[in-house]
Amino acid sequence: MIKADTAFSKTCRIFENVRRLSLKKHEIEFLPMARLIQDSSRLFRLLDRADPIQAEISRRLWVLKSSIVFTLLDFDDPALRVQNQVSELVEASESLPEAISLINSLKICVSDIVGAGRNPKRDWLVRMLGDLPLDEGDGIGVLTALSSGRPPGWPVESVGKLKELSHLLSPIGSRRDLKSSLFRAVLLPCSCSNVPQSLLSSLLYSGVTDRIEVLLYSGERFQVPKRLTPPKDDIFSGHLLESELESEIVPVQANGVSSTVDSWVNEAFWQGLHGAARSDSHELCPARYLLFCDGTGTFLPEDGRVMTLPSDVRVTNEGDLCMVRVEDVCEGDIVVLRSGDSGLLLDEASERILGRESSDTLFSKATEWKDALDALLVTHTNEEVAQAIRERGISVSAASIHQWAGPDVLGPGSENVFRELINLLAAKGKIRKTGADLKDYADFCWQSLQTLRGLHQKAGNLIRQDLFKALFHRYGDNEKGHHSLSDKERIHIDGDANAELLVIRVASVDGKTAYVLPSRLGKLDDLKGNKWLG
Amino acid sequence: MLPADFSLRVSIHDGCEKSKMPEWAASLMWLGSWCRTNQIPGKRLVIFAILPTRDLGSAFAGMGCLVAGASAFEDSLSWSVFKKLPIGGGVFWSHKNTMARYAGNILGFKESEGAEFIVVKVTKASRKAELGSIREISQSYFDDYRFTEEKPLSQPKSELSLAAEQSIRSLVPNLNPKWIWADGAEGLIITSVASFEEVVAGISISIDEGASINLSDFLCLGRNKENVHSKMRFEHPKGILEGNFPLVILDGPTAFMAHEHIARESNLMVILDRSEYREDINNLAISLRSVSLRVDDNIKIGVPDKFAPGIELAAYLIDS
Repeated sequence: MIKADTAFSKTCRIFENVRRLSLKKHEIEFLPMARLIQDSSRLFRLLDRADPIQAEISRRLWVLKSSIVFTLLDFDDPALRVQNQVSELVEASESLPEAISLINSLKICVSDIVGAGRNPKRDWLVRMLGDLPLDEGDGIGVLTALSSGRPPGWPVESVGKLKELSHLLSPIGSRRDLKSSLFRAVLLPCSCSNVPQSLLSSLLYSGVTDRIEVLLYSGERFQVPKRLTPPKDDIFSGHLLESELESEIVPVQANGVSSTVDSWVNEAFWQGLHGAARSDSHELCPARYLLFCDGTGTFLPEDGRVMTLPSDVRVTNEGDLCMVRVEDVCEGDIVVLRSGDSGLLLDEASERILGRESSDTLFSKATEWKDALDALLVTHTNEEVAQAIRERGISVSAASIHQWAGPDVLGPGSENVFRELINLLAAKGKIRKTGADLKDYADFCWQSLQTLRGLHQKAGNLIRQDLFKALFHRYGDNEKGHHSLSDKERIHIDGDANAELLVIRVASVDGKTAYVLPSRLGKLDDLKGNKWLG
Repeated sequence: MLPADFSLRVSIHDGCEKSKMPEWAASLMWLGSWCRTNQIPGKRLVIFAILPTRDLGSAFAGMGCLVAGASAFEDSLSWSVFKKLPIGGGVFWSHKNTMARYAGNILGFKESEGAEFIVVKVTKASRKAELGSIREISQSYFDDYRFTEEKPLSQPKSELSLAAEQSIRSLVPNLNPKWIWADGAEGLIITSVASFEEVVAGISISIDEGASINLSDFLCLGRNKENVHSKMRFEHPKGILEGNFPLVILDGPTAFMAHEHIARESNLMVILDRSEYREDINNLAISLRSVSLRVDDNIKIGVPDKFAPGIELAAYLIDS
């Protein structure tokens, strides 16, 4: 075995893992479980999830079924609350007479499962651990983030109980856990239909192990998720090796009851937390929802960035303050947010340097042309605008046009590109200037943009310094990395900004874009007591 | 290009462990070499390399780019090129035999008795007496000096570059001795500087049974923000990205965003982890494919039958 304690050896191991990767699905026969899965499917089919009461029954049913199917604990473990959940489901279903016979059948299945006195998935794991060679080596990863929020069947104490089985078992709760570790094997305890896709893809495709074991009861279906790959070209296609795992990909069956329920649950979870629109509308901004470990959550602009701290909360130099794209934030990350309505620290710092009025005026001057671009985008797509600029000999993408029109990017970074954009806007009649006037206008806007960029750079440095001082003061002496960060901490920045910041750990990230009013961005929602958070 | 057996001749020293070049590293080194070699006037190649991990990907691609550049080198700052430099511009030079090093400014060019001279004013020299002096160097003595626009390396760094040149010479037998000192780098790696330095630290390279050299020294690496002589440059995505490079390696999604700030003549190699290949990047790849040109069969010469498992590639030739 290659040791993986250096970047080179780790990279070798990763490529070797990808080459040798085997994925085995172990279908476990357990009659009462097969009946539970079947009865649940029938019940789900019966329920009208557009009706709030029946949607709540569906939620309880999914949590109950998943608590049993996902878990590696003994079924009678009090932390699972299986019998309580059954009682609650029965109670919630009283107003639905057509469901009574199925609910009763389900009740019997659950009794049989608990009464069997064993969890076959747990037994399988114990056998696997017994068969392992005794030498110390990499751990066995167990995927525990089986759904967004707190996964059913995996109460907080289950991770500790897992470790009691073997110190080699290592929970995988986020993509961060995959960044630093390689595993002898990874265990997927269920069909993973509710696992965030980004996490499951990273686990399957990033070479963290060469052995993936999937534990499934009869009736559970595991499907290898498809991932994005570059479009085929004329040069290299035919020279690339496809892994066995890739050849296992089958199109997802959208008409099966279980996949419908899983899709519903995955969406209903987030709708139950933030309730935001999923389609674009003029006044709404694209955003991602972050759920935090302290039971709060917030939207951040999808194109934005957020500051993160190292996982051991050791802040010893400014390089430890890392700006991460909101889209790339994942479970377990520690982020720094402005306490209050929104994170406008940059604007405030700019005002400190330049004075409020001058700062506002400069911003207006530098971005005046965005109105013309907005107007053009009413009748043209981003790609059409990009194509029109490309025809002028400048290489730009549709994504850039989108960014320039939006609030997060000031504009093109290159003067040539900027000038051609302005020329195009004039040619399309959105800027009513020609000849020398147009050139002067482009000069003026470009100079203003550059001045504003310089100002933002200075302001950014000012914020970083203030923030670093505050964070170093709190966490800098954490020499051994033993500072235990609670779910949320508050940090005060001294000086003119006089801001309060939240240092807060991410529990889950909504993988889909939501569209919200700008006023919701950065605003913390208190989700304590929300039924979806258990 | 690289010799066919290059992967058997390159050894990697990872701390105390020595091993032959693994297949994945050889694939990436070949790819860097291929991207550097295929320079087509008026066109550029854009290559996407999607890997299980991109740690070290840009370093090995950079190695291939460097060796291919050394192999393709024709001449350094020649008399005719030098004559086009602006009056007042700064230059550096050293004498081949005495190794005496100077910095100065170009005052102009003159003709005297049928011979052409460059005229430079010395602004930096090891002997105080030479400061401020005016030198006139005729065309016939030009090659006795090594002129560059980039600041030459310090003595210890020069020795490391010479050692790298010796190693590269094993793979490029007809290597022009002027290459290592000639202005201009073969490529620019846009990356997270700290992470890049961290992953290459501790790795050394040896060719055949030659001495091992730190990977960063082998790459003759320098920051792009500093006008110090180097054969491969690297820089942050938000750093100084100016300059003409035959190949620019965009290491990671943040570096990818910098592609619009790169000179249009450069070939581009985008290196990403599988989890980093996102919708917006895929959209760009699709639009590149839609405008890509038919490739000449010459470009496909030498493409390996199979790349290492886990490496996904797509290359598009477009008008620059």
